[in-house]
Amino acid sequence: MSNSANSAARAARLLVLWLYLSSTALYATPDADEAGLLHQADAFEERIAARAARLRDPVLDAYLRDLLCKIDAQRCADVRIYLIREPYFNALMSPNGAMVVFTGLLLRMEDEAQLLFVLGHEMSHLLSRDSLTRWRQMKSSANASIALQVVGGAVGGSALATVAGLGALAPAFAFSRDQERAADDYGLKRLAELGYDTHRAGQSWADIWREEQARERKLSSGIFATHPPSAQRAERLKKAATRGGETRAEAFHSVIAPHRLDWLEDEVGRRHYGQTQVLLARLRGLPFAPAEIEYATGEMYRRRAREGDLALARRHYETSLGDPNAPARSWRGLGLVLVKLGDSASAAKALRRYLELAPNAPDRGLIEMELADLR
Amino acid sequence: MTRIRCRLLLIALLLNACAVTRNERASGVAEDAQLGRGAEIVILPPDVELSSLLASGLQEVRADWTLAAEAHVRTALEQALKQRGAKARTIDNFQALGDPERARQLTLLHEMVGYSVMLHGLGTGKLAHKTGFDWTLGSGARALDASARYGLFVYLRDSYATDGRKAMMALALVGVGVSLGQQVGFASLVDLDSGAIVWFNVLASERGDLRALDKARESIELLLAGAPL
Repeated sequence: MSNSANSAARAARLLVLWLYLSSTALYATPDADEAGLLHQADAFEERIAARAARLRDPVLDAYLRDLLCKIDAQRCADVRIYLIREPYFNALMSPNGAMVVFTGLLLRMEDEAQLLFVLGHEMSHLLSRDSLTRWRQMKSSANASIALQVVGGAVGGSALATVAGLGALAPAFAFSRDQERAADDYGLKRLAELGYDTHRAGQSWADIWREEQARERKLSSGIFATHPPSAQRAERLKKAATRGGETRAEAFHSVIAPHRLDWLEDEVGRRHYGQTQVLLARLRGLPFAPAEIEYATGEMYRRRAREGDLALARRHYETSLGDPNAPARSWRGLGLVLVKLGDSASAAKALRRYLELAPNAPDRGLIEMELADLR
Repeated sequence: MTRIRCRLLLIALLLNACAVTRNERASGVAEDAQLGRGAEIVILPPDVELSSLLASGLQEVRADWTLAAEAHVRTALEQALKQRGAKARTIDNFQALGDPERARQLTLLHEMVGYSVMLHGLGTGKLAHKTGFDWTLGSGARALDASARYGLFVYLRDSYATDGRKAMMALALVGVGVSLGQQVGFASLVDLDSGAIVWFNVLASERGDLRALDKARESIELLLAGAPL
């Protein structure tokens, strides 16, 4: 090894040591990083609050708040809930107490026990100040990893540096595995203490995992942003379930009932039909809103429109319409699918029935155009 | 947000210099136009964020610097417009507006249009068939203010190297290219009657310091370069 290469390697080693020793001195004042994190969180919340996709339902808000206060009677006052109408399975807890819940998560919950577990999990991130801990971890591991890059450069290797550098790319809400496990444990603990059936948590993760496995890989976005499911996580939760108890399925479903149909349509609109099929098959097994689930299944087949799908769609719309609680939209779906199947007379009848039942439908103009074409 | 920051940095790289600005104006706005002389301009709350650049290259937002910079940017904008003889009024926060939520959505829309202008209206990502500068927020822009004719938007991101970062510089011998912080941003003047962006300027700089008022003034002068005010 030449002299200059030697001194470069020595300088690199010294720098590594210096970075490790001074990693806590890299922020100007001890709590500047926390202040910065909270500032970012406030900016994030201010944007979320102005979002057009925000769902405002005082009943649903009060219900969620009530559950949060069951979990922690004191700290629930520090949480602001933002419901966002998007079909993703996700909930986020910001370090300033802004909690974001996506409607795709509520659509996938089967009862209050499952929802309370998720809220408990999120609450744990706030109570343990996980964002700050994680950011500090990332900072020190990123500082360490750039040190490795320097060493890597000096010794001519870069694979290790590449691997080590990945940690720095993790998004702001990506907590560590340890933090996720601790949050799961807290959620389960509160579930048990409040007398809920603790088996419900693992069940929901097992179901979500099944949905994830049906993902069509070539499609860009899945339903998960920050809480990727895994078989291990479902397994761990299942094993940790210690006691039975309440599920409070009726209470939960009565609160989401006014929105369920919209959320089902949002889900179909993702066009990830493989996953939607798994989800709808599961929801069909529940004793809630069967006519709506049949309608959504019809929508899924009609919009996917592969060979044989139109006939399946027709059957599901008809099943939906056999139920006294069928949504008016089932008539629309049936009419549109009959147009494609070439039965103009029955199609017109169904579409007219839709407009009778929903005279103020936002798509009235479109349906009238379709009716004019059928004449 | 990370993706957006990357886009801004990408543009900074495309512009590739110490302090560069690049501005465009809608057709029909004369070279020597002084739009602020006959009509009122509202200065919307500037969107500013300052970070410290850690040794690793991670950016850590600094609340104290950001708050100071917000005030400096506001002051510098007011002074710059006054100097140009423009009739200007500052909006302190969105809550002061008639329909705060709608106004906020418009400013978020402006931000997205701004990114599009930077990506597709300037530089290498320019759309082949888009001739002329005709970007707009749409006719709903009036909701931002009832009386003023124009809205002035400012978006600025700035970062400063920590001592650890500076130490990295000294190790250039082992072949690590290290930036010591970047000032990037854009400003635009929007006709609130039509929603049209009548003037747009993008700034990328390796210098500047928004934490001090005098330096913030220099940045705002750069940002307002070529503005029809």
